[in-house]
Amino acid sequence: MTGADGTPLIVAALLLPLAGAAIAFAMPRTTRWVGIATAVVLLAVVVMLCGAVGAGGELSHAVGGWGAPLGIALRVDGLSAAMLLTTAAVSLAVAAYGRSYFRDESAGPAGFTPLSMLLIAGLNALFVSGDLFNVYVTLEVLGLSAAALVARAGTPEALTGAMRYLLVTVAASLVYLLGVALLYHLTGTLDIRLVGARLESGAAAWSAVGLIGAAMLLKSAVFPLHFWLPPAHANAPAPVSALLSALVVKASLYVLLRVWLDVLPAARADFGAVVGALGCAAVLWGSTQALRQDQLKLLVAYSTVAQVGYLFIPFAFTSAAAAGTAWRGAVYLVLCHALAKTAMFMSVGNIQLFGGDRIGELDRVVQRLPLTMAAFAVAGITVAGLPPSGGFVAKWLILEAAVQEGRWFVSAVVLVGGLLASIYVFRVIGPAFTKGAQPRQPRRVPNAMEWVAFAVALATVLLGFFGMPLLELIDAGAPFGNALEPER
Amino acid sequence: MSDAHAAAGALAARALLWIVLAGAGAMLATAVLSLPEDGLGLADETLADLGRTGVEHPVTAVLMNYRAYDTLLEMAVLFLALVGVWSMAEARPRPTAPPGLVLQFLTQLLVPFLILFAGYLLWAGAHEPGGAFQAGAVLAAAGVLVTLSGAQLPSVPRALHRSLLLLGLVTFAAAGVAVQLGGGAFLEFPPSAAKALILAIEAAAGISIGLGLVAIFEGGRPSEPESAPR
Amino acid sequence: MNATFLLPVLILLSSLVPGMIIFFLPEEWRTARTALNLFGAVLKVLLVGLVALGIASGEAYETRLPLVPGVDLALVIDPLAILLSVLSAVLWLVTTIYAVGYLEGSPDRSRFFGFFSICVTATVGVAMAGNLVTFLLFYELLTLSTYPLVVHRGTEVARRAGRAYLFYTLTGGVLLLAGIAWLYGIAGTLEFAPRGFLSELPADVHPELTAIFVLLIAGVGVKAALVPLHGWLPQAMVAPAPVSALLHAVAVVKAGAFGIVRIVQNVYGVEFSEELGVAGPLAAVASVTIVYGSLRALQQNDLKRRLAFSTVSQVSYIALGVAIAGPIASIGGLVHLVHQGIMKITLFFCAGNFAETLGVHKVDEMRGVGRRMPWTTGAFTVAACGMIGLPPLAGFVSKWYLGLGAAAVGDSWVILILIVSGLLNAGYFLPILYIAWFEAPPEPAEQTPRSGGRLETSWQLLLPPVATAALTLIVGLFAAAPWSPLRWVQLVASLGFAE
Repeated sequence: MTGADGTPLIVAALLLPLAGAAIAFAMPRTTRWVGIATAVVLLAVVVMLCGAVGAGGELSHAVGGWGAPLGIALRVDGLSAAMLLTTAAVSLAVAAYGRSYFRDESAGPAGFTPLSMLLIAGLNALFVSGDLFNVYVTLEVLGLSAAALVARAGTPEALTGAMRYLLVTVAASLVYLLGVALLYHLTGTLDIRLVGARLESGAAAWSAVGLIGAAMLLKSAVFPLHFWLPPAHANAPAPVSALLSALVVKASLYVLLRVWLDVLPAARADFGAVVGALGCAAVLWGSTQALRQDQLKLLVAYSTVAQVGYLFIPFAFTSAAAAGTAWRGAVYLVLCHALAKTAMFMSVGNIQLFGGDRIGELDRVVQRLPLTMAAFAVAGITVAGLPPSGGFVAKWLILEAAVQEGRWFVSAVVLVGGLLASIYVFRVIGPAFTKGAQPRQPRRVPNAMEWVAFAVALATVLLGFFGMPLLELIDAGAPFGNALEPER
Repeated sequence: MSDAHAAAGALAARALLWIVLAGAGAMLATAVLSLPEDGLGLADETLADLGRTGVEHPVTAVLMNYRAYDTLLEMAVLFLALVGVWSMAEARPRPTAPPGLVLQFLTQLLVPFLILFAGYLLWAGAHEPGGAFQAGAVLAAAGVLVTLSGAQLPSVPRALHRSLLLLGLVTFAAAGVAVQLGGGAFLEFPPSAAKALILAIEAAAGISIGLGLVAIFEGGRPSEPESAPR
Repeated sequence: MNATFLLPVLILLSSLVPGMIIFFLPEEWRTARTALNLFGAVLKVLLVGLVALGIASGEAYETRLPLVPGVDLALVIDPLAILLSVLSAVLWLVTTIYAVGYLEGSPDRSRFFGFFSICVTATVGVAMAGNLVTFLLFYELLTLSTYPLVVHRGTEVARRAGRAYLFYTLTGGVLLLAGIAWLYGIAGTLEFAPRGFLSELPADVHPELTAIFVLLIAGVGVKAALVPLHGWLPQAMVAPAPVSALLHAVAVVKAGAFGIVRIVQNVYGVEFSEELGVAGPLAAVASVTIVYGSLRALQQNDLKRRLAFSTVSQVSYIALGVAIAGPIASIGGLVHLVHQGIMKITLFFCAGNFAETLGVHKVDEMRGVGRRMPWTTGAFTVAACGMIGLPPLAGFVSKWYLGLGAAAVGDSWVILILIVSGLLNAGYFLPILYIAWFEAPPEPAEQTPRSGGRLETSWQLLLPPVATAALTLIVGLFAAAPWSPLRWVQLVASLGFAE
């Protein structure tokens, strides 16, 4: 189905952030407005695109008019649309926040706005791509821009974190490329669907999928490959941490999902249990580590390790119905967690700006920043999966699937992970209600930064009530449909 | 005592790592050995459709037509690399000491030829190996030589410099959108206009690539930022 | 979009919206805050009253919003929902007046009243929940919104109490969620039905249903303070008096008890619980709690702690009533939901008055308070006598029906429990009354920190306990009147049984 209506929207979603980056680069004076204007238009475009996908199912577009196998196909189904929507929403919030946060930055044409817009462009390009090599190119855009953004903090720790991140992500990309090369040799095409149709099970096919899987697990920081994440996310500037935790780690989940769903569904049966187990381990490990942190930002970063674990749990499900339910939940969690983490990192950014980011000394800080604290708390509800919040809806779906398949261990992990999350969230909230000494001379936190954080947090609560349209959108074009049957 | 333990632990970890790596290597070797001798590929299709691409050389057809979208994104990667470098630091000051005689002479001798050669590569790309990336690289070599020799590059306004750096990406994307507005797909160059369009894009891209590589070579954004935005 | 669809939502919004606005009001805007609070409280009473009248004349009120495929956010108002809604709406109004007076001049009032309003919203949401997921949603919202109230004072003790409270209730929430998810996997629905929705399931899932019952009851039992899950309740006493009043009378503890009622009556069904063999153990746990709470209350010298253990004991009457599995006992349990609320809120108001006006916190400091604060002490006396179960007060009605119900189904041991507990109640309340009325005050009577002019304390502190004490008397005296809680409860109980 070639949706004549949706095609310009797909291309617009690709080019808008590129255009934003170009304008911000060419005319640095406009940088404070370009980011937010681009993000607003992008959100509008993506919402229209979601409408088109929701109404008409999958949209596809053959770039250059060639079509697979010679050319590159763009495809947008419900899964892609949900990822695009997440990206657009987060980028708007981050653009609004970054305006104030980077008000005094001196990088001229090469500041936060062009880099973050390039990151968004890479994400959008990834989520609409239907081609394995094209995915590699988008991963390069992602990795480079993310590393450059982490380094923007300028501190030695940030540079170390950025360098480590860059090495990890480039190594993972190369491993991915090796997998793609194998697949190309086996099937003579790079189009994901065609590879899936032509690929026959065998040692080489398994190796290829295994390589791609390992690369993506590393990029998503799935336990025990999470070592690079906390230093990178904790030392980056707050809006960058938000982008990384909210979006970048999920990009690789998306790739893995596409490859396993569309290329070699059989892989799920054998690797699925392993990945699901890693997801469970990540939930427990990340949560306990978050409990032990003294530095606020590290706590939030470890929380990301834990939450990413949830996203990989559905790989473990084998029955069609349970896997479908769980995936719907996981994709919904991508959106909810993205917003919640954005709000959390923004709150932490406010607290750091105000002065102090040790949990032990929070009681001297948070009294003066009630709105920021409220944002953290409300976002924490989603992270802990408590109702009423989008996180609850998502975890309910995963739990429902786990019960349906009688996976008691998974159910227990989901529940215990939620409990641990509420404990570490309340470690931060608790001091808000105690009377600390007057803080040292605080720096003023711009109102906009507080309100943006709060608004994003509030959105996660609303997602707890109005999730149905989005859950239906995720199903558009049946992204999980073909993997759910035992045989293609 | 604990040191010994730690050392033993590190040794065990390293041994484990090697075991894992050996396993992965063995798996890969098996996989590669199991590959069919004559791997499938797209060579035949590439050649079959060459007539509609507007170029005669298959590699250029792949780069600028079949998979032009990948190339567009690669242009974005180059731009990104530049922005990344610029975002980190300001450029090192240029060497002020006069260069050696050899370098100066070579520069004066080579640079005009390099520029000419870049133009040739650009043109040749349609039917022989060559194209924007090669041309841009040669152009960049010229720029690097000039920089090293300490000669002043012609001073251009900053805004113009930045626009030239963007030229390739913008032209590429604009051409893609233009053909779409004309009723085709994104980046669907109509066979009649394909050659001209591709040449224009390659020229723009070549300039941007060359300038971009030089800018990256300088290791940072131009110093003394023009009145910081407020 | 007609009124029957809109009203449940409006009832929620009538406290939620004022609460949200109050958060952002500057601390000094006292009048605006109070006006907004009272406006919301009065509006809620009116709306709930309107709905109650509608229910009585056979209207149905239902609002649904699909949350995930197969599960709705369902607000369904049935007679049982009305019971808790009316109670919370009325007592919220009273407590608001009290809290305004009580917190006069203290810091962070906007924060306090904001969470206070959310807390009531959550309670009414618990009441109107039409299925288990909706119940859970508001139940957790209640947890989250009461935490700031418990730690409101900001002292180290308050923080510790808050931590304990959260640990208990969040763990309870997890158990509840586990039970609900498991149940959904088996039954495929979670909608409350008048007589439960599980009795049709095949017999081979009965062991699982039993396990789920344990999970669910443990989940709500934390808030209902069933022994041994009651540890948080006495600690939570550090909260300001209006919070304790609300916590014990309508909000947290009552939500737990209400959950037990919902689970026994509308999930499992009273008869099916009996058949499954889970009602008996529940009754036993409730009985243990009743006796244990009373025994602990006897040992407390701190007035609020004594009242707290009394709550542990009294709330389990509700669980006991529904667990006995007979229509008459159910009436006793359910009506105690209302009666205990009215009486306990009176007691906490009075304790707050003693503490605020005289600085009296301990029982043995209460010598002669009757002479210095006759109205407050009078109200305290009425409520305490009601708790003991003296006729014609509210508590008597509850215990009478509990006893009758137990006798009707042949559980005569329950009557023994009732007698023991009545004696114990007398044992920990009567000495207070004696000390307050008949012992001489310490000399000289200190200057009262807060004087209400001619009144013994400010009117905002005095009116609420006197009003609720009067209610204690009225619902007891006019228990047979057509509008009384008892009559309503008889309607509710009749729905839960076949004949």
